Amino acid sequence: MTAPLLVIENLVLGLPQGADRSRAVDGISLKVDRNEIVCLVGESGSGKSMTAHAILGLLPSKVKALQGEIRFGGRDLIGLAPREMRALRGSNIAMIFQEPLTALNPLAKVGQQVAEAISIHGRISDRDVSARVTELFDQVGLPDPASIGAAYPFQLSGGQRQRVMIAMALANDPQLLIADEPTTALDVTTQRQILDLIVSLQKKRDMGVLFITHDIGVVADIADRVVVLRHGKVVEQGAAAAVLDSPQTDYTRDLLDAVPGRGTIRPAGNEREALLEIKDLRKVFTSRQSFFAEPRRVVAADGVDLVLKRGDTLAVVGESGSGKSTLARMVLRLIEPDGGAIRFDGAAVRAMKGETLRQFRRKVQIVFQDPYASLDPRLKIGESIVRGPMAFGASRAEAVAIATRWLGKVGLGAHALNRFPHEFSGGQRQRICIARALALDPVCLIADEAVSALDVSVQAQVLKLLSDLKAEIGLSMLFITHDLRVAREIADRIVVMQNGRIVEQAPTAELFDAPRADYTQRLLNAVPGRDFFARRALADAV
Amino acid sequence: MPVISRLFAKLAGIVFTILVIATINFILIHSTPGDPALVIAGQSGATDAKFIEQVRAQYGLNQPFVVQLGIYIGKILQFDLGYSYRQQAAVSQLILERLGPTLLLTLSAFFLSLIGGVLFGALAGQRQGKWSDLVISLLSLLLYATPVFWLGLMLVLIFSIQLEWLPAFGYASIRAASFSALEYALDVARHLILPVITLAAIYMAVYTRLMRSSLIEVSHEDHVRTARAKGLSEPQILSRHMLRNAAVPVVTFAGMQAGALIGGAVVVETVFSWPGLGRLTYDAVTARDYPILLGLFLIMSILVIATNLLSDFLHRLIDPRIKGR
Amino acid sequence: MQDFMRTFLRRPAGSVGLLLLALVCLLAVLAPLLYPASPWEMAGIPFSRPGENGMLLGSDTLGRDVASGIAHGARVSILIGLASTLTALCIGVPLGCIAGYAGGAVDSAIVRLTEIFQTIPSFVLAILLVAILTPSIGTIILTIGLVSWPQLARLTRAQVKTVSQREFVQAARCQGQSTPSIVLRHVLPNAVSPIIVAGSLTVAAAILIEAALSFMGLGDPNFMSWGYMVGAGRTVIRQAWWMSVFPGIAILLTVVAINLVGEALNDTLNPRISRA
Repeated sequence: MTAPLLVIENLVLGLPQGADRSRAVDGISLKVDRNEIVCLVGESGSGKSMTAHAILGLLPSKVKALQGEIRFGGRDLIGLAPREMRALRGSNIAMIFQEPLTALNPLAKVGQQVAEAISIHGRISDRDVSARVTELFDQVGLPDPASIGAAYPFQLSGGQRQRVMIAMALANDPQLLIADEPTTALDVTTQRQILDLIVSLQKKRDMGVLFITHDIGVVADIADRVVVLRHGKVVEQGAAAAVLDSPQTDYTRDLLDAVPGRGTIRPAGNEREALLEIKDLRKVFTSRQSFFAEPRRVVAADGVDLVLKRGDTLAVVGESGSGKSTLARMVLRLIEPDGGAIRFDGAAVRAMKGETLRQFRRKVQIVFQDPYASLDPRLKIGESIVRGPMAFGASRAEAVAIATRWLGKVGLGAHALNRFPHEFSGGQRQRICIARALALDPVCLIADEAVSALDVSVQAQVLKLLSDLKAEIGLSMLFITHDLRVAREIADRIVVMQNGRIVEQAPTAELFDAPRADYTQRLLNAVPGRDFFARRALADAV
Repeated sequence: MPVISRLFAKLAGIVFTILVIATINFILIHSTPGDPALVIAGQSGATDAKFIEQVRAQYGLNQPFVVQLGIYIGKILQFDLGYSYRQQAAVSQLILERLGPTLLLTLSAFFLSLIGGVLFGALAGQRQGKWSDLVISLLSLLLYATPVFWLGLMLVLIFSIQLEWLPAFGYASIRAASFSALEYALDVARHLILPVITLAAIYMAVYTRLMRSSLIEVSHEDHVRTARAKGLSEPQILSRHMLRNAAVPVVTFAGMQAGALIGGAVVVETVFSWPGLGRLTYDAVTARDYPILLGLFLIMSILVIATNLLSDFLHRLIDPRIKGR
Repeated sequence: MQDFMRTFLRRPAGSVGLLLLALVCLLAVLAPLLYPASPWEMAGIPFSRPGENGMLLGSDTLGRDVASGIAHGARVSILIGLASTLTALCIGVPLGCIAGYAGGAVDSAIVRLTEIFQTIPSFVLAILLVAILTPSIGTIILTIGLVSWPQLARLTRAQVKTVSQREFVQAARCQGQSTPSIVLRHVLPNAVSPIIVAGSLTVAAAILIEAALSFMGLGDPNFMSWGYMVGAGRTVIRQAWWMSVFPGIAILLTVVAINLVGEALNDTLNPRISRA
């Protein structure tokens, strides 16, 4: 039995005065052995990233380690001299970050940035550095490893940038790799590739990996051991199989249950009349970066056909750049399409002007992705909601009554009326946005990634709210999402989009049981924790 | 091919800008309360009737407005900027004679202010909150608020009148005719010091403030954390990953300041009797010699366009993202 | 509002700037009481040193009281600074708003125009304008306004553009609110704070331009101005330093005061951006 690679004992990290709590991390203990992946899982504010940053002494200057030890190779890393800490960083312990775009220096070639990581520690002679860089690029599966080093970060895709980051981290054969949400900013298929890469490299190199994530599906896929964090404390830890299959605490169980896409699929609706029909919709964005640059063309919609039936929920699923959000905005004429037809209740939407368009928008309301940008920060909640009904002739008193009623329905009391958006959490704001949309008594609701920015437990609550409201008032819904699991939870039918085209559309059950398009197949396989949750569902059913 | 078409588009943009400026000139001539012929001839009081008639015929001032505009722009495209009756010389000739000293002054001030601003700003930003930052920030705050002509006078008061270290005005000594080439160059350089420092100081203050905040902003960026996680020391992070990134907005901004720099040169040349375009402007203002003023405005605008091209080029050198887009 | 003042005054820049600015304004208001005689009139022996012959800051070549000139000059500087900034705001903000919210061809046309005006050396244009229109308070205000609007238009456009792409503005459109109501109630209030800051800095810049114009001999001959005083004193700077030193200090202090206030405004209104 060898000593563990990394031991964190009773770590306490203090926040500066004026923060919402005094301790970001409150007595965490954990260990990472050689040749294992330990996942640190928790929702936002659990202190998982702070813990990771504390190991390498990369905490923001206002956050201080108050107590505890971080032992690595027999030394306590807290209070280590800067010179010794620098010698560890990037050599014995390496780290990769969440945002691969901003984590690389935009003005330096990626090859140079990796070479720098090697030469700074001086393990090999300068002459061999460039050969080593090529070798590393090859190992992380970058195309054309010999020449890609001359590229700048902006010339690479998100997945390629993260591969560069991994190559940089592996440059000096670290014993411990800390990965801070390295796949969160990536599309699901790219996430799958990066996860596979990290697992295979870890096996090959006998590395210890501390992997920070909020996604319990990712945990199920890669973890040997798991540590569940909440509000800066360890809720539960142990072997991944044990924790996931028989969680000992309610919180872990709730986390597992909140993962969308596990319930029974809703039966596809019987044939009803079409509410929203889209035919051959086209849109190309040409953007000019400057007066004399070549314009760039991005195809957002290329012959999109779809039908939303009255009372149904239609989910549009796609990765970033698939054109799904543009589609939602084109329906509302927030973006003008280049060609094609949109019919709502038989009326041609693209021909609408002035008052007709206004009346149409009243019937079709939208909830956006970012709960922080969706509410005017200078207006009280009540004011944001009442302006809608008032724009359609309601008196202020009537409008306030409507707002109060809807705030009640979304689970917030009338006391919310006189508060400002910044006083609410992300989930609460999203409820407010739903109330604002429904206060106009719409026929159809467009949800544009409406739950994507939320923690998984909050996400589950908002999804439930939406489907309850839908059942209660008979809404039709166009639900835009990148997450197949969410779509499975809420939709009657699913449309899969890629690069502005529809690759498949089918009733939800059919799509999950027998996907026809290759791309759908790939998306399904890429869903993190798929096997685990399938097993779990089976076990539950028995 | 795209390079050529881009170049062409750029050239077209420049020509368009020059035409707009010429049109502004034309509108100005016609916006005076009196006879536009008097403006073009550069006379307001005593008039030479024959010369005015000649101007009227030359510029077609009896013809419709559009034709007049056409004639005026046509003349400018042939580099005919009119004739100064007072100085008895073609405006283009007068301007060309004065171009050299102005270029010497503004270019020296441009580079001095940019280099100084980047250095001092980086120093202040790196030592945020320490006394060296406070001193630099306070000085740049004061300089930024100083009227440029007054700063020039104060420098003259201290360094020429009190200390008698440097000449107070002019381009070269009176005895310059007898100097060898090297002596002459040194003499001009001695005369250049005060004007350049005056002009550069104000802009250096602006760039220092900008560089300071830019550096502080860059220091919060994710890639700096990556560099730290690689094991780089703080000085290495500063020199390899922060300086260049922080300088990009400063260089962009400096390019946009070219117009203001030339405006500043007008005042500085007036204070130091520097025989360039600015001094010519002052003399023309005093004499209300409109043809020269109109010509100067056009030429100085072209100078600004040229400086913009230069800073565009600099920007391309330090920011690879522009080429790739 | 109380919160705003508290944050504002807690910064040394804010309180020092405000104090200085208040002093300058007080001087401007009290000038006719302190020095009832015209600042152009001879008040004593020419070339009196500061403190001599009852003149605190000395007299100039024609025996005019320098202190009186500075007090009366404050009125001109403040008036021109405010009025020309107002002119620039009246041109720049509507143009920027239209360009930012309308987009498309209107936007490109306005952007192109703004770019051309930013290329033009503004001080030279100001000289030309004032010279041709003949110098007076009115033409000077108009001229400084005409050369100062492009930055404000550019900033307003950028602000309006970012804010109007935010989701809450799109939500307001979907709520059926009218375009003027969206722009006035949602877009402008959220876009305005950087514009206020830029406006305050424009006042300072305008005072500097006015000073430089009157230094070049393009001031209104009916009003005493600081720039004129420096210009008139510079030929005799060897014999009489005070004639150009004191008016210059007046300009410097006023502009510093306004810049400090602008900086403190920026820190208070845009706390996220100026975090350091």
